[in-house]
Amino acid sequence: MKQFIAMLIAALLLVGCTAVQPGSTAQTGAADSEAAATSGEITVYTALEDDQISNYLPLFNEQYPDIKVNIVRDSTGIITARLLAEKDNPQADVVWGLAATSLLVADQQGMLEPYAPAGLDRIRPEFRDPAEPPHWVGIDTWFSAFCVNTVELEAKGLPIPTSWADLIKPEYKGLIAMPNPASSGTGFLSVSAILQMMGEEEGWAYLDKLHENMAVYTHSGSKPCRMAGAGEVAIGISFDYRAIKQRDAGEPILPVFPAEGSGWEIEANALVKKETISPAAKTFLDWAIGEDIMRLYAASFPITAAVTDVPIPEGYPEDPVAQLVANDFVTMASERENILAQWAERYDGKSEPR
Amino acid sequence: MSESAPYLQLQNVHKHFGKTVALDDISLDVQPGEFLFLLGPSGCGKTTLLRIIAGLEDLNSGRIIQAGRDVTRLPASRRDFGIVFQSYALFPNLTVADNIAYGLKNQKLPKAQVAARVQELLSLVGLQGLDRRYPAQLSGGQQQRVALARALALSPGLLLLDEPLSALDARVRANLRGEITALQRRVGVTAIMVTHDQEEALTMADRIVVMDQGRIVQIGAPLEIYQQPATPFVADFVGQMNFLPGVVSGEGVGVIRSGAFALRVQEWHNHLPPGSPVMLAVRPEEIRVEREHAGMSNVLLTEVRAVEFMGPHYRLLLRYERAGAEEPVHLTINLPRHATAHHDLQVGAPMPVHVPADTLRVFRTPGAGK
Amino acid sequence: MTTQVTDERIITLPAATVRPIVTGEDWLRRSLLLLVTGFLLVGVLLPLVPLVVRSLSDQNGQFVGLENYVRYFTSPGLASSFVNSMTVATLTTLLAVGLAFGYAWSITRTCMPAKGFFRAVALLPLFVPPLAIAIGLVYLFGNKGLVTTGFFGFFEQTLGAPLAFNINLYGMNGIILGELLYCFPQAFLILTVAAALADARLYEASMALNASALRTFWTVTLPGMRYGLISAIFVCFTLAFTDFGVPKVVGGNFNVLATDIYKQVIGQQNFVMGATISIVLLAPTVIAFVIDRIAQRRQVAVLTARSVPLRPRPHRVIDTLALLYCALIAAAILIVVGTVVYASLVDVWPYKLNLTLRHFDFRNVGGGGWGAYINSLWMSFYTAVFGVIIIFTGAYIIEKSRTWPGLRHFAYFLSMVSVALPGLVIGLAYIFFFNPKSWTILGVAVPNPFAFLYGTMAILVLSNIVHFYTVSFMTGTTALKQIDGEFESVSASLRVPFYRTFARVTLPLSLPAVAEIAMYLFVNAMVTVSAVIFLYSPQIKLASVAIVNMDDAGDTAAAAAMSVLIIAACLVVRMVYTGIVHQLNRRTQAWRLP
Repeated sequence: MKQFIAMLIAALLLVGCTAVQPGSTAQTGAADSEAAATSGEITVYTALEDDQISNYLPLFNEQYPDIKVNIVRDSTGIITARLLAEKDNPQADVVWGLAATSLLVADQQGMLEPYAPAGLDRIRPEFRDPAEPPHWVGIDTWFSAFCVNTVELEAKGLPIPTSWADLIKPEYKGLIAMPNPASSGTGFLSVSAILQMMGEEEGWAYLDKLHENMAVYTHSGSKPCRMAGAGEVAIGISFDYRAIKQRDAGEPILPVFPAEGSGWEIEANALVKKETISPAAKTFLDWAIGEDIMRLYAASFPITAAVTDVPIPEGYPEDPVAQLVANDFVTMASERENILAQWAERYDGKSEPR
Repeated sequence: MSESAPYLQLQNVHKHFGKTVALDDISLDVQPGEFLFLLGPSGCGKTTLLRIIAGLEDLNSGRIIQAGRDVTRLPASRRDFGIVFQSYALFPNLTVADNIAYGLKNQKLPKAQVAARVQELLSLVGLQGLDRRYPAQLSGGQQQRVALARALALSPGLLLLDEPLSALDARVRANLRGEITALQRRVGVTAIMVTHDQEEALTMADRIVVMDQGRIVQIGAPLEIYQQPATPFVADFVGQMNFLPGVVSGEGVGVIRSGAFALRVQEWHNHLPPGSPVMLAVRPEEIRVEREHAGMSNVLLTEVRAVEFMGPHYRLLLRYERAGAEEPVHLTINLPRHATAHHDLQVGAPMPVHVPADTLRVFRTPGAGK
Repeated sequence: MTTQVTDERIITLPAATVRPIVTGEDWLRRSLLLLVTGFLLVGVLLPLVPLVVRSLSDQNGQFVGLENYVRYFTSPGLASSFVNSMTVATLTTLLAVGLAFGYAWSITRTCMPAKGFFRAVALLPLFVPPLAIAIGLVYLFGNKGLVTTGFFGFFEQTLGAPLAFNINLYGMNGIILGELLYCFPQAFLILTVAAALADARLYEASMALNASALRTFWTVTLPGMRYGLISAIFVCFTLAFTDFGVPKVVGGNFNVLATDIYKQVIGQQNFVMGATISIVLLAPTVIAFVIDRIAQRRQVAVLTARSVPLRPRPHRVIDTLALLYCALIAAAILIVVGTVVYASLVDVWPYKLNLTLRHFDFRNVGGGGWGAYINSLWMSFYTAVFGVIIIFTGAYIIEKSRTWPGLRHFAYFLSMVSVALPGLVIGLAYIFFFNPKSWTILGVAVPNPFAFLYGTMAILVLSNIVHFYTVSFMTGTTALKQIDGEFESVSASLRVPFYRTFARVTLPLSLPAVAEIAMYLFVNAMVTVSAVIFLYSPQIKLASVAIVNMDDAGDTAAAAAMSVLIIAACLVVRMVYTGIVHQLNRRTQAWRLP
């Protein structure tokens, strides 16, 4: 845990420094939000799962019946693209549960309004933008996991892989799906984790071998897990929540957290900078890190921004933090284009691996 | 020709599409009540000219005056004409009566008056009782009569006909020729008809305008066009014509040498120096077969090359040689059936013919001389 | 009087053109042309401007000239993406046009039975959302697919033979199969119209000359359908070249240009590069457009006033072969669509195959459920109604008026170019164009007069009309071309204003085409995702987007269920269309049949 926190602080301090725009003065703060608005209408952009939203949102509606919340939900890529494309006249008031890396891009373009939601003090420091007031505040993390179809592996008489190293064994040839890092944040997460864990040279050598075993690269992060769930492939490299959810839905999926560690990402909230900022938006942000909702987050995420008394959900490692690799967000962000270019050169355009 | 004020005047009309000249400096007067034909091969500009007269096509320069009014810049809807197309252009979803009444209804006339006018027009074109039919239920000839009735419905000053008969069967076409002419006379409307069929023009027209490559080549009454074609093109296009190549001879005024024969022509106004190449033109029906030709001038000694039975007459293809390597000359004549008894029509048989001097027309050979 | 004309011919081209007086009617025509051109400008051309600007700028909005293009053309994956796109588009076009040609020929030129049924089945894929087609293909040909596993080994147990085929769905095979299903109905639509326009006299002549069937085909059938064939090739090639829905789902690692845009925009939020590739993607279409135009210029009217409609004669062998051929293709289509229906009813694919209706209860899945379905119905209705008015008016004024030729050609070009815009590009371009409250033009802020459209139903309808403009426009133009071009001249001579002739003659004669355009717009609006996914507002969720969301969330069965609802709505509309056309034909039989 200590190592994790140290890494995060180092990383986020750096990111924070680059993210804070000179001249973007913070005029709002916790003081404003104390007199929270209880009516109005807001538009919320989110990449949280539909079933999560239908689980979380009633809580808000109960508490603030006069605030109408319009949800625009889509995959991380679509929501981020929409948010950024609407830069000149933002439609969203609030971003809720979107990848922190996406929010960093939005912040670099000056699209986020600094805001310190009520209850910020309860948030672990590594889960928020270090700037005061913060430009974004995290709520949970998610990380890479394998969705392993036990029925398919059993039929083929193969053992269940437990590590990244297992995946490059020849017996898994043609049985694995993973998201293309150029299309999917989840894909990039895994690739960057491998490169950071193994170092550049060894990392690429590993990816070369993984490529040999790959049945298909997908354009969406959840697709490999769904393919595994439907038996289209035996192993899908995806992320934790997806693996657990499909297992719970009765699919023959075993969530596997690789022994070497998982790439990870923070999901966070932010206030969108626009001409008139609705007070209801701040109410929503206050609520979105409140104690009640945090307990709900904790029911599906093993690591939440504020510590709760909710036990770690079933199926996760006992120490989820230990599962996370040391992740240098800043380097990864700046290296992203190079990594993707190299990835494209190595694996795109070759005939399809079988 | 009467010198009363023309009903329609075209002055120096010019039209080009891109760099292609469609009409080159067309000037033309049309007399009131006249039935004028625009005759020429396809692509000669006759349809373009008709469309310009109607205002359906813009012109590049020139003037059009109709009934004393300059209509050059007026759109079709403000001019005064009725038009009939080759395709009839009948509205297929309207009945015969509705087609004819189409323009009348728009004039906001009382219903009874429209109905009466429709009946009047139907009887004019001989289609009484067919008013409830749809165009597809009529024969081609009937459809064209409906189109005529519709074009005449508003009593226009000018009737334009764009190849109205060419989509019809030969027999129907022949019948309609007479009907259209009679109708035009009866109504007294000035009419312009476009055709590529010289027979149609010769039988129906008061005057014919022969066009070629965007220009007017000759204007005249049918007989005049037939008997005195102004150019080899007209001669060839209107009716059948034999062309005999020759050279102006020094033997006397108006003597042309063709092969071994000397032909005297009556009309000699070209003042060409001896040795100039020329083309003689003569209609097949003007050439007479002469067994007793001793002492006659303008005789060609030909031989039979082919014989075709045409019903009332035989068509003979004849030939005579020319000096050296020059191509032999071919000519066609028509021999009445009753005259064949006196002649040997075997291929290769000699066939002396007489070409009267007054039937020969002389043209300069195109491209030769100035 | 004899006029002699000199031989010398002086070609002078007078510069001065006699300008006809402009009448009120002309102004009405011009206004209509202006309105249509304005619509196309706002809907097609202007939204591309911000896209072009972005392709010439860096991420911070600084002008960098052609740097992005240079970078794109030197990037490692490009060559293969380009080759892949060309391969997929070419093969799809060959297959779709080839198969559709045979199908259309069988339906129009033979006496095989059940033509109405086969016609309906051919259009069925149009009613299926792209993602549902992908679901159907995966359930059939995926690694666990019914075909791949021989119905889960069922054939092996009962017949003793494995009867299982693995077509290696993920990759080029899957893309071509998906695009084929997508392009086939479009090619079929165009080719049926072309095949119906035959002059029986040419075939009689060919028969009289003792030409063999093959020779007749090459010398009469093909040339007569040339325009339709070229149009079908143009449409199929462009659709297959620009579509990203199919490659995204079953393309695997097989990269095409359209998924490159997806990666840049959605994967990496790199609008600059996305814009650059979008512009590159336009190029082949513009080339195809030019070829289409040249081919069309040389097109002579197939039907003249004397044409005799071709009535097929019964021929046992040919009719049987045609029936077999159509039955095979129809079966293939029905199997894919049937699989989608099956997918909506299966409890847990592929492990619990009992049937249930529970997936039609959308309360526990995202995307907006039945509300989204109702929204989609309204949106499609508006798209059909406003679309048909705008598109048919546009086709009419471009095809049948002589006013302002330059502007008419321009409007024609815009009408044709919209097919080249992938939905994703339309969606993004619309955000950039319609969302800002003001545009900065040369450093000056100009208020955006269209900003009010953003986030409304109107922008969804607009994007749909533009997205499906070209094929509808071609349908309208083809119908108008069949109407005698002299009707307008006759009306003018009778001093009847053009709009009266439009209302009394042109429109009634074109009603089948008008109904077809409306149907086409409706069904496409129902199923489309790519553009509207960027434009729908939280108040107006859509069924087709819900399918994507449900599938994304793993609720494949619910996604299939929503697809089935969409197919059902499209089938109803299709039946209404058939009913209307039937009524029209009955009422107007009198003038249609000689």
